[in-house]
Amino acid sequence: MTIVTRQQRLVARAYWMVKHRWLAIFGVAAITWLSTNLFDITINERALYLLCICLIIENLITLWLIEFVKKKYKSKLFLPIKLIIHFQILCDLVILTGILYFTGGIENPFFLIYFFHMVISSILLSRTGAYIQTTIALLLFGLLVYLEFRGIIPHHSLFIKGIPNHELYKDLYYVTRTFGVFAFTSYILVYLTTSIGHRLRSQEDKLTEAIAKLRRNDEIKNEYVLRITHDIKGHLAAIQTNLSVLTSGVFGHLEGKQKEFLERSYRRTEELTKFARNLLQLTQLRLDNKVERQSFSVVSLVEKVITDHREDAMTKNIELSSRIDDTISTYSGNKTSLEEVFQNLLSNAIKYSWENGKVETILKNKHHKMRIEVSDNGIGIPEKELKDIFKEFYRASNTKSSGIKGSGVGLSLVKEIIKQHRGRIWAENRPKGGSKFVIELPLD
Amino acid sequence: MVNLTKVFSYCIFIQTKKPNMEKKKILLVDDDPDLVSAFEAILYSRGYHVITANTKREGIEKITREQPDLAILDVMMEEDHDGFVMAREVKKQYPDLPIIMLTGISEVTGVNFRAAASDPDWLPADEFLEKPVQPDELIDCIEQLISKPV
Repeated sequence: MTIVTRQQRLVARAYWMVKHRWLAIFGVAAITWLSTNLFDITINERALYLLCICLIIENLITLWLIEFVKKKYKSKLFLPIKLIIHFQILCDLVILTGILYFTGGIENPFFLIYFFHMVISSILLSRTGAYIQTTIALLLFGLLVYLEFRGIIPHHSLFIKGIPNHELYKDLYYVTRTFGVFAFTSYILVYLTTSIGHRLRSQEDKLTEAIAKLRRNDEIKNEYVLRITHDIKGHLAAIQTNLSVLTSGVFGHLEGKQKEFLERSYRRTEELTKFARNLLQLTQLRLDNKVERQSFSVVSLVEKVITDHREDAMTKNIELSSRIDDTISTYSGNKTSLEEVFQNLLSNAIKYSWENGKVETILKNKHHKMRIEVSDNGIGIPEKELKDIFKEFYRASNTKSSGIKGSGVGLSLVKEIIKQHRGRIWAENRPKGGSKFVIELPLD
Repeated sequence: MVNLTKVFSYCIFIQTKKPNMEKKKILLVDDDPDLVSAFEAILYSRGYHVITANTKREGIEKITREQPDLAILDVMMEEDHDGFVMAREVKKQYPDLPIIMLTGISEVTGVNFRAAASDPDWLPADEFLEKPVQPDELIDCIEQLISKPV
């Protein structure tokens, strides 16, 4: 999960307002056209289209401003973006008042659209900012209503054929009642939305803080595991090399029980080293969280890994086969990590296969994705545990009873590597027995 | 203990030594004495003359004094990447000296090497072997590098 900062959210909201303003412009233009052409409503369409152009200009300026501050302030965007939102709302209020002026003033129930801007400013701006914008909206609308009432500016009534014109804008009782209720409702609305918004924002901040703290703790844990495992592996390497000196017969050949016990110790040390190695690599990947990519031939890599496992397969008389689509020329990724993935999958397939079994590797190009399948006809995976096997230290219940040793780290490492390459991995059971591991990696 | 191993290894070496075989000199630099003695035993048994050092400074001194035919360096010594730094210094002075670098897993990915190198495309070692190294793997690697025409 990626943490979206308040700043990023605010930038997204600024774009969101621009996007919705395009829709609003289209709406105003469409209603103007429909009113004059279909419903015979007499309005000053030229003025309304002009105001639509003003909205378009406002949107273009806003877009330019957002891009400009993004480039100029980069990480300190919060205040400039807030100012841009103020600018947008202010322009909207002025143009909305203009539209209302040409469409009947207080007689046009669409003056309720002011509420949208009040709600938006309550959510996006500070409490004071929201009250300032609301007051500006009320002052603009109040001024319009007052000037029309006093006859200082001409009134453009929405004249609809067949419907008597009541000239409500001149009616003191109607004007004061409507405006008064509107102003009162506006402040109540802003009070409610800012209170809820404030509470939600502080909860969100606490949550973001908690996530950041958890991440930091996880990082400390990973660094700790890395250090310890590294040290353990150093000692293990020394033990293993010393044991290999003895088993290689440098100091004379060993016989019987001496040889047997020494070889047993060597094998266990080797297993432990492998476990430490996998754990180390998994932790390192989690800490680095980035992939050093290079272009290489996956076909050769898969073929190399298959060759590496021929000897192991022969000890259990397992048939290793492959079907490789060589149209996949190169892949850009971390070669060492992906070799680790194929090594793990193939050695698991051999390890959990019965004697005289079959292990097949398929590599194909499927809809711009590279698909790799490694299947065996071994012991399979209990259906309920198909997802769990990728968890750290998890081993499927049937592996324990089979007596095959393992640490439960290999597949977690595989999954982590595939995840970092933006790919997917999953396991399925084959109908005739055995399991299949499928990897999908994006090719572009 | 190290001396006893040396003496014993020499005896085996004398037994296995082929006549007229040129004795190649190998410098082994690692701060883990147990690893050093194990590698020493392996190398002696295969007829190599082994010089050892525990630190970067000691290693550089011995290269100047003893002029080895090949150097085996551990990447991590007292400080991270000590071996790497040493390899870079050595390669500047002795560009023809083959170097085998012993690494832990974190270095295998190559990420840290490139970060530590001034030129990201240049690695100062001829071969990288991940610890623990199998005796045969080490010997194969040495034979390939020493027999390589300069």
